[in-house]
Amino acid sequence: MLILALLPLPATAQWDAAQLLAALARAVPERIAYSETRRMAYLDVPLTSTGELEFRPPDWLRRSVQGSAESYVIAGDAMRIETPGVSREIALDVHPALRAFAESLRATLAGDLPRLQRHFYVELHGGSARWRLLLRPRDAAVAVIIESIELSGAGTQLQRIESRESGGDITITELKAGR
Amino acid sequence: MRPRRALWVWLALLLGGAWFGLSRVSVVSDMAAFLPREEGLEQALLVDALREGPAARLIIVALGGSDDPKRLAAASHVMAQRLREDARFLRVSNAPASLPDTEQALWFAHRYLLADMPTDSFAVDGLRRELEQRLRELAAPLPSLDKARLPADPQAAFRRVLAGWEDGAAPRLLHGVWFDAGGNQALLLLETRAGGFDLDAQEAARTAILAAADAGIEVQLSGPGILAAASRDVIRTEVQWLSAAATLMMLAILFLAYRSPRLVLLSALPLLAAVVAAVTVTALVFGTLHGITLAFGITLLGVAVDYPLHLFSHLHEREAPVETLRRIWPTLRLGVASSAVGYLAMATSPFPGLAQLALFTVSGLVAAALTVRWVLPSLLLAVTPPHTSYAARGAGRGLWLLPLLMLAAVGYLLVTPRSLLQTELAALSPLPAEWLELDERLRAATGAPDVSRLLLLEGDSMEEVLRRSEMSLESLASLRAAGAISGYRLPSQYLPSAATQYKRRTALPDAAELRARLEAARHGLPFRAALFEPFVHDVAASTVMQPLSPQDVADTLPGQRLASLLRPHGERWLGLVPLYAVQDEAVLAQWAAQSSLPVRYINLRQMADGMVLRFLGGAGVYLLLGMALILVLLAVGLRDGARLLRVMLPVLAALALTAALLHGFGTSLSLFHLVALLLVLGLGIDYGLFFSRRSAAAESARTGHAVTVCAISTASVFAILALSQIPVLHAIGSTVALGVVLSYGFARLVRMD
Repeated sequence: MLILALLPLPATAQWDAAQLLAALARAVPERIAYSETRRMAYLDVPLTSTGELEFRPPDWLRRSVQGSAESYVIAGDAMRIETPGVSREIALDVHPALRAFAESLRATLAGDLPRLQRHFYVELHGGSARWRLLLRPRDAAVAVIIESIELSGAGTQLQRIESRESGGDITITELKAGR
Repeated sequence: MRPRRALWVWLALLLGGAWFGLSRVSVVSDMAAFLPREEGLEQALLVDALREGPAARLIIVALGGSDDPKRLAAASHVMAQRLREDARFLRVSNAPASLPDTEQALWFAHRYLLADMPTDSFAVDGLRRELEQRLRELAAPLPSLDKARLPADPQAAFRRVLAGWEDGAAPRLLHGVWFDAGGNQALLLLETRAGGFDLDAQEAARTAILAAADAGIEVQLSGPGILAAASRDVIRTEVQWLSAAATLMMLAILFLAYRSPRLVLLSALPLLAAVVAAVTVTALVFGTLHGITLAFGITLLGVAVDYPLHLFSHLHEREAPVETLRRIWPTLRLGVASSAVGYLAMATSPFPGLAQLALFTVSGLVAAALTVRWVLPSLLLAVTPPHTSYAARGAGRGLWLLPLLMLAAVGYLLVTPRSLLQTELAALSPLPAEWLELDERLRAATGAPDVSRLLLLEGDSMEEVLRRSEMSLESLASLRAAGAISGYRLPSQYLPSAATQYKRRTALPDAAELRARLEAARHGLPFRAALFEPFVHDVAASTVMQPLSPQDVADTLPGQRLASLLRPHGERWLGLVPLYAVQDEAVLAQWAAQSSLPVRYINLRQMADGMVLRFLGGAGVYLLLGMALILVLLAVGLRDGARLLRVMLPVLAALALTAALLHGFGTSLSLFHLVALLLVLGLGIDYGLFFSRRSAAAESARTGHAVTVCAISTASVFAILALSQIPVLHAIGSTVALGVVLSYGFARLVRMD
């Protein structure tokens, strides 16, 4: 019995979040176009935007919004808001919600499950063909602001991010196939 | 039985004095009591700031000892949590201060009286600009942290209130806590409740901090109070082993000289009486006794150790001790009297420190002399006189050398280009340089304000100080822009004056008007209708709100910071304005001098150094006056010009040469050197007086023995002191040891056969 337990089993038999993330990280393209819709309790109409994500493993992520001069760079322990001429830097640790939000995408793309689990309870639904990864904040102070983040996709491709914020605000980000 | 009665009286006085000294005398360590009496504002402020100012109560803690920043961050959290439960600490921060939840409501409610908003904030254009900005924030791809406040605060006025309280140069954040620039040490800023110069409280705080650290974490800490407490410890430990070594050395020398344990023990009695009398008399006259007086005074009483030795060395078999005493008493009395008049001149000085020191020394010396005169002879009856062998060689030769040496030394001191005197208070610090470097490094890492440089605002009331603080904001901002300072903290940044709050209140629109303007500003933006009703409601409520006063907010975090910057000063109030990294002192001082506001630029270190300089100057004047008195007294007492010359020439030459040698080897003369030279003067006069007595060969040998034992014991004891790493002890030790050797050597040159 012991010897059997030590034998390598077929990969499919224990497909889990770690394997999913590892697969995502191997397949992640350098640039990903996205379109985003935000439905907010304060607003009559949803806010929509399109743009591009640029990721350099393990921890550099830029988000450029089309039609806006601003871009957001998460690098190391800081988020930089770059506008032509001025750039403003916020330490991610100033607020835990900011750190958690940054890691939800960055740790996922980097395939770093432990980092993701430091901030979220991670639940995997579905199979390797179609999957959903549900993230719920561990920190109560973060949960006040971010209720949940659901990442979903097919195979090795991340296709959709649905974040639910306090007050019933929902942001849906659709990711196109990368270049 | 007169001697016996004298013994009982002496014993009663000694016990009474000892009881009084131990139970009734409080030793103060307040520097202010020692410095010149100046009733000026700056003086009062200096003392206040040294003792109670927030800068003096600051402790910076650095946690290291691990390569893992996460581990250090966790240790920082644990320490902060433990220390926050400790009532000794007024403030414990390891990250940007977040307002306690209990205070949020109060400050949020008053935001329209507190926030410094652009003038058009309530006009349609201003509202439109703010709404557009909020919309951009909602659209930004990061969670909006204060989204819940948007309906009541669309202009983000509360953010402005919070931003006004942020510290100037905050350290970097890592894992949620402050770190140094390299990320190697987690940093905490603490403020003790007790003043910085309450050394026991600072020591207790230090112990509490070390106890609150996790195992395996290296704790470094610094701060004015911590440094002061540490220097006291360093001095205490060093003094303990040095005095133990010196006592052993003294006992060994005395035993070798007299071969009698009894004489060795008896030799301590005059010094004991001297200390008890000095403490008692000083405390009775001045009410309290200063720690510095005690330390210096006991040094100066060192001359009293010699008094019994003169008596012991002059004993011989064919004579009762009382007779021996009668023979040497005129000489001994003249020595004591000359020392005493030298110090008496100082006792009349307007410097409380000098006056106390002088009275302390005079009463001690007189008590020691009286002990030798009335008590020791009756205790010496059964003692075998010591064998005093002393070969007189080269007597009276080389006298011509002394004036030459003295002239050369004085000439050197007059022409040397390097400054003679050390007037920096900091140079007197007993701490090793590493401590001061650590303090500087931690201060730079945390961006803590300058300890010694600040601006001072004055006013008739707290309200007036706050108004003046607001008026100086613009100038300070431009001084910062010009690079004269890198930051400042104004009292009004924690709470605006009531006048400003009223002004803001009056400028608020009424509800109907605001609703109409909001409607116009909202046009074309996706914000839901009636979303901002809470805003309209809060603004309306603000128009009838009473301004917050410093008393109203006294128990809040910003209120406590404010209170530490507002200090009562007699009938008036002072506003302290801490400065960060002063780059251009001249510009700052010039601005303060020309400002129409009652604002002053204060450099505490410079002021303290100035006081030391005045103190040294005062001591110098009284020293010269004392010397003149000594000369007059000796001239009258000796009635012999040639002998006066023989007494004074060696000691004066020794003093000049000691000062010149110390300075020549790179030491600037400080207060401590001066005190040490005073002691040398007293000792040297005694040597000269005894050596210049006319007597037979046997008596001359005894005198030689006495002076030699005195000189060897004093020089050895102070040479041990000179081994100390502490500048004060080293200065006193080396000066006295050198001075005594020279005095003794020179006095031998002028000896009579």
